[in-house]
Amino acid sequence: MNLLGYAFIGAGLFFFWISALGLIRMPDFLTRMHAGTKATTLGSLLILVGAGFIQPEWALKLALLAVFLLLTNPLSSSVLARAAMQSGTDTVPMKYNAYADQIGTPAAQATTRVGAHGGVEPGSASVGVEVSR
Amino acid sequence: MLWNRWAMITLFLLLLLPVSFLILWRFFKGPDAVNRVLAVDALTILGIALLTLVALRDGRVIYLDVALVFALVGFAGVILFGRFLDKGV
Repeated sequence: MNLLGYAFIGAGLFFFWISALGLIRMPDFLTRMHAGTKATTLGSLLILVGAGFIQPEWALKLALLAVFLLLTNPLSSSVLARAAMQSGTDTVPMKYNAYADQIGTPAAQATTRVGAHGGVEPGSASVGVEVSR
Repeated sequence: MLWNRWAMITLFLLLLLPVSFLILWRFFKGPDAVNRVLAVDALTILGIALLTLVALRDGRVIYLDVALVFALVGFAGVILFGRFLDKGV
């Protein structure tokens, strides 16, 4: 029972480390949010489950905490993504053309925009990510 | 038991503590306000996990209540900053 709890806590530790490395290494706010909200939610839930395995008489309070985390974390991440899109954050241009198989169509030419850093000129092969402001 | 519980969970706490420094690096470096709010959100969830581990280490159930209130306050703060960045005061 204790060893199972330690294993769950170690898995939660691993996901917290993954989340912190993603927060540092990701190039963009939205990808950073992908690392910073989901992985920390999973890591904290694993740590709570491990604590419940180690000390089973606290299971009700730990379950309450886990349900609260599961209810509030997607809500806060959704509000954060909406705030980022409304306040206009920097996004990196894509590395390759997502419309490469329909390059001659007018829809593909219409979606070629200048990226956030101005590095993509219209008519080049790469498609910039649209920045809504 | 081969491993003492206090020593094992102290080891977990010491392994989890540098994550807070990595998140704080994003908080101070972050080029935008939303990056800093994201770092605060991740730091709140990390604080809940740390408080749970401290409660396990010391065997005191009162830290779980502290973690619950901390989760509530952190969630309210992130919602507040998100709405503020969304449409202003």
